[in-house]
Amino acid sequence: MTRLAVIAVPPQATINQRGADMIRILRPLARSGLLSAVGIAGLFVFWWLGGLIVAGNPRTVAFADFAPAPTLARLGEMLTSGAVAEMSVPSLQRVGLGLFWAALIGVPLGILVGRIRTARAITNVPFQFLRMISPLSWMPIAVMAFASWDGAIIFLIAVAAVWPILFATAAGVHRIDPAWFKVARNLGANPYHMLTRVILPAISQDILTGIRLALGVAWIVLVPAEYLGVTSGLGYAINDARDTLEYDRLAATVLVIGVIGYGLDAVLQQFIKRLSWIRQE
Amino acid sequence: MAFIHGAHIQIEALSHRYRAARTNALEDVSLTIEPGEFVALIGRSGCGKSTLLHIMAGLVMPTRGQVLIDGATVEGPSPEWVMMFQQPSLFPWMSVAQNVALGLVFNRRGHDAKRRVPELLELVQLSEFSDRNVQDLSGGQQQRVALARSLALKPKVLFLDEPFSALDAFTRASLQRDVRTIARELGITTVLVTHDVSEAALMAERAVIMTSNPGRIRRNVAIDRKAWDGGDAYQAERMSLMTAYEDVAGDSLQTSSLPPAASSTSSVIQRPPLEKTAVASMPVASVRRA
Ligand SMILES: Nc1ncnc2c1ncn2[C@@H]1O[C@H](COP(=O)(O)OP(=O)(O)OP(=O)(O)O)[C@@H](O)[C@H]1O
Ligand SMILES: [Mg+2]
Repeated sequence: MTRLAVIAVPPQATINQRGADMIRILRPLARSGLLSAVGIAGLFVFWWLGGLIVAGNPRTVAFADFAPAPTLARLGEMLTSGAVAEMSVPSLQRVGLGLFWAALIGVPLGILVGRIRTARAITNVPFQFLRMISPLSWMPIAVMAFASWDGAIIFLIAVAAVWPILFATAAGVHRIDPAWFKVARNLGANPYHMLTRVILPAISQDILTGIRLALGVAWIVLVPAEYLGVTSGLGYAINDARDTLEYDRLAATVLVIGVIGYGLDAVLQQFIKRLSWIRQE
Repeated sequence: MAFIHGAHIQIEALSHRYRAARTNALEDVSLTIEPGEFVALIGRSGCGKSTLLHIMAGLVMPTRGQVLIDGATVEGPSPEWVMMFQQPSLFPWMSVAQNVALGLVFNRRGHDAKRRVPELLELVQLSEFSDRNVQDLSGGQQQRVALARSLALKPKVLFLDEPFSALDAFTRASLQRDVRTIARELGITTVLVTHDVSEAALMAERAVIMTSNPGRIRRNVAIDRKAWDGGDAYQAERMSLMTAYEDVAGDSLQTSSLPPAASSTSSVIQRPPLEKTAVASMPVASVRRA
């Protein structure tokens, strides 16, 4: 007991300053890492318990492959066979294109709405109205309007993603310090300079935050949209696995969707942090 | 930096009323400023100093009257005249050097930046901060960057709207000295807005005293350049300016139809005309509202 105490609490003098600094920096990191691990473990326990319950009930035993063990085994197979890449790439392309169009439309419109009061007054009601319509309700129209299923899906994603980008951009422009415009005008900036040297750098953070929110929405809309017509992508893979009663493949696909979504979000978050000109301290 | 020949400014019967306002922010303001002269506009808060400066700089269009700079009517901002504001308002996504080069870039002279920016940073004593982000600078240093940014276009006129008022006393004093020296050495015509009489005495050659509701010019007071070095001359000038200021303030409370310069109760020693014969037309005071 006494020996343990001696080991656990080394004399203060032996800890040098750098060591103390390291500990001060590392401790919160280690702590948050540990807490995340606890959370992930909790999720797995939940999943595992669910699997046990499903397997234990004669009425649901057919779905026992949803459990962690079969799913992870199947996921490993799918990773090595290239199936994961095969179903993810088309989905990523659709989301990428959908976000591209959403940004192409949302950013300029957002700047107009944020900068010009009249534009804001005119568009406020229509935009709030359109925003509340579930993007998936456009599905029949999208199918009619676009020659390809791909086009329709990209349209649905863009419709879902444009609002967060537009509103975040408009809010960002609205918040720009008016003094910056005055200073720029005073130094002879023309409208092009205003846009490229003042507005866009000032709101880069807001645009990226909007895109990050839009990505979340787009990723959610993607799967149901891919239940339509197409024969590729994550949504299709889910539907296909259900039809063939391969519940381990279905669960593995769900896992892939979650992991990719989380990964994309984390990448964007890092990107926003890097690009930010706002001092963190 | 090479000597710049400062511009001549002529303000002719200027009146201004803001759209939302019931009274004129400025009424019948006329003033002449000679090339290279350093003039301070002083007056109580709300008397229209900033309004007058914004109109002179072409950032606000007057309701009536006009401003002529070197004989041409001011119709908007120009690289020939620039304004420095109370806040430096630097762009935080740019380095010090990029901020200084902004005016050059806006006026298609970005190619000059490589040569001009180090020169300007040296002028404001910030050479070693060139690549730093402006957010890492102190308030005084930021205002120095704003000064360099204003000077990049070699303006003939520098308009200063209380650019020192947000600084601590020590920083303010050194910046006041430096701005005055730079303006003097470059020969730039400078108009400083301030509500600080000491600042006017320390920096300007002439103080123009304004009263409010509506904003008018009430008096021109010449300041001895010896005051710039501090000491007794400064104290004397500051005192006489203060007296004039209070006199005008008292004046504006009374109902008087006399033009202030002719007011017999004036305790101010009227100075001989400026050497540069800066003749400012004095507005005729009308009956004031009680
Ligand atoms: N944009 C505006 N719209 C309406 N009224 C304004 C506007 N700007 C200023 N005013 C009014 O015009 C008058 C003059 O204002 P101005 O800003 O020129 O005063 P100032 O002398 O610079 O005061 P301060 O020393 O406080 O800066 C004030 O009564 C003010 O309320
Ligand atoms: Mg002001």
